[in-house]
Amino acid sequence: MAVFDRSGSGVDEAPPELVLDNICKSFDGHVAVDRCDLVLKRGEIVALLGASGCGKSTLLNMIAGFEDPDYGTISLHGRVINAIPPYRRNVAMVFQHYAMFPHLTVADNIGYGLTARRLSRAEIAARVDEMIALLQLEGLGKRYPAQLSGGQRQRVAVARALAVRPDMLLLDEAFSALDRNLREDMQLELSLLLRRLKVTTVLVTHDQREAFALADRIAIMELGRIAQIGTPEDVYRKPGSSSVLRFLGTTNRFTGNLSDSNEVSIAPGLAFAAPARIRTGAVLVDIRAEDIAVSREPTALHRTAPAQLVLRTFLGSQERLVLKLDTYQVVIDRPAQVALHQEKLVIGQPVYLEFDPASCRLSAAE
Amino acid sequence: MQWRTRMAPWFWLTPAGALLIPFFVIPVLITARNSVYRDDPMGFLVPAFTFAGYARVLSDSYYLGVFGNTLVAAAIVSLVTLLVAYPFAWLLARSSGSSRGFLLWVVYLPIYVSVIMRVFGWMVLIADSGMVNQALLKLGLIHHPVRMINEISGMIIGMIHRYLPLMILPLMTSLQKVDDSIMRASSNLGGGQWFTWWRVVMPISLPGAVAGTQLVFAGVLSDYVIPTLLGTTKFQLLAPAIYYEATTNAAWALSGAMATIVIVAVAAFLITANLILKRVAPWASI
Repeated sequence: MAVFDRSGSGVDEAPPELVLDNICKSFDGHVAVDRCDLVLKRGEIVALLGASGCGKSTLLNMIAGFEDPDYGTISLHGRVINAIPPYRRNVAMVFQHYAMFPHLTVADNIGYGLTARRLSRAEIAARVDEMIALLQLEGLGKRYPAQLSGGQRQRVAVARALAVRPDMLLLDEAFSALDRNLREDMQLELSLLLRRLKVTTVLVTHDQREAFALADRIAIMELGRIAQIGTPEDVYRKPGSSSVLRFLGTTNRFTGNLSDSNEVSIAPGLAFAAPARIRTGAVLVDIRAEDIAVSREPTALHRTAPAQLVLRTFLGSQERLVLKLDTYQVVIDRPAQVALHQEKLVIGQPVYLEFDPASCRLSAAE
Repeated sequence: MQWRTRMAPWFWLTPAGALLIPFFVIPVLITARNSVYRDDPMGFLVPAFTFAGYARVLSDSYYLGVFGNTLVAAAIVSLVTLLVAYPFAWLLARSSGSSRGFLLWVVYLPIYVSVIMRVFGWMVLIADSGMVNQALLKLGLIHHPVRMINEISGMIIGMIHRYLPLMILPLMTSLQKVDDSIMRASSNLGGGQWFTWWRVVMPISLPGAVAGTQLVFAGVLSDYVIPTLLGTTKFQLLAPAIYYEATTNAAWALSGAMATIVIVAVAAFLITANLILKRVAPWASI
């Protein structure tokens, strides 16, 4: 079923919908967006993921036309839109706090863009009804935004944006104001809806779960640049840099030493063959929390000076262990199933680490 | 015990009540009572129930003229302050930090200065030999001083200045609801500047405009100082007329009737404005 196609194969043949070419933007000498390139195909959903201040919102605002790039071009359907004001772009946005018009009913909020486009009353009413049905807002048409719940408001915001049949949709932290359960439900629902309608979408978020839940591809942004772009699996499994690795998931960082014999030691008695060749000397070693296992007996990597278990946290589907190893605090996530089938670990117990050296990422220490 | 918990919130009204009841509510009630007494040329105020005061005020062309003048002045001042306050309130609502502090200070400044002082200030400016006339004469734009003081124009200028803050502040509060994201949402959905103003900014500012108009209108209806010092007896307003009847003519029943009519008129105006607002902006009372 096309709706569940996450491979993006149906999207590949389509011509590019949105092309960002070498976009730069700075505010008062502070670089917000730095040489960003991005190509979206029709129906594709791309997440701009990054910490606050990484430039993702500025990039989104430039696509919407709220900011002008200092340099570079934005093309939609092969047409450069840099000089087109926001109200002529036909790029609809769902705002972080929904930006409802407080003085308009739900139906009038949804119809706002249609009124601006001078559609006839009958056409507006028909399209509003269609949107109300699509987002399951039946019976709420005459309410005012102040009379809606957060989840309902978000549905109205999405309906209002989709009502204008936009060339593309922009989501600006659109789920951050919702409770976690509601957020996950809405993410799933919107993901299915956008795929069914084949709406080209750029979403901005600092929440990797949201990016993973919705996007065909994720662009990780750092300091105004797109550090890496790829499918959710690619960026997670094959992070292009240690900063991308550390941004996604929970990561442990050790400062180790890489010897001439290509062996990395990160703590007394904990050494392994370097998975990649880099300059010898001080190195940083990053390992994901789920890539480390614990053992009661010394392991091939960790022979002496065991770590100590200091905390065990039950997280439902996972168990999180916190160990004290030398000067480090090591976080380990393991499936609850694995924990169940092992003899229970007790606080204070000495344990040894085990991991595949290939899952480590080495970088030269500054 | 239950009675006490139920009545406890009312306890907090005691200080305000202690002030308002003897110094406002009771005098107003006495005025209303006086209005149905009879003015006696010999005996001052005679406690004999009659509507003679009302009948005279509502039939005599002089008094009707005074009511009419006052309504015209209130309407003009309300309209002009609304037009002057709107862009200023918009600027205030969109500004932040020190520029906002400065603009607010400019709004509050006239309130800090006594109205009498402000009137003297206007006299210096707009008197026949005042700065405005001097400047216009020197520039050759006029050959004789333009009479503004003790004229309708001078009175209106003084009133606009006096009541402008009362229009700006509620308008600003309303306009602050139009935040950046709402402006962007309108633009994003295809609304140009004029469309956005007409469909978003103006309707959202309506409650503030109504509140400001209520304050200014009611203020002008009962203004005594400005019409007395800057106005003209050719265009008599209510408050000075009432004062004149009560003091010079010692007609307490007549002035009581006039005052009661003003109070009822102001109340009726405020209630009507609120009812209209409820109809045109139902969202504001959610």
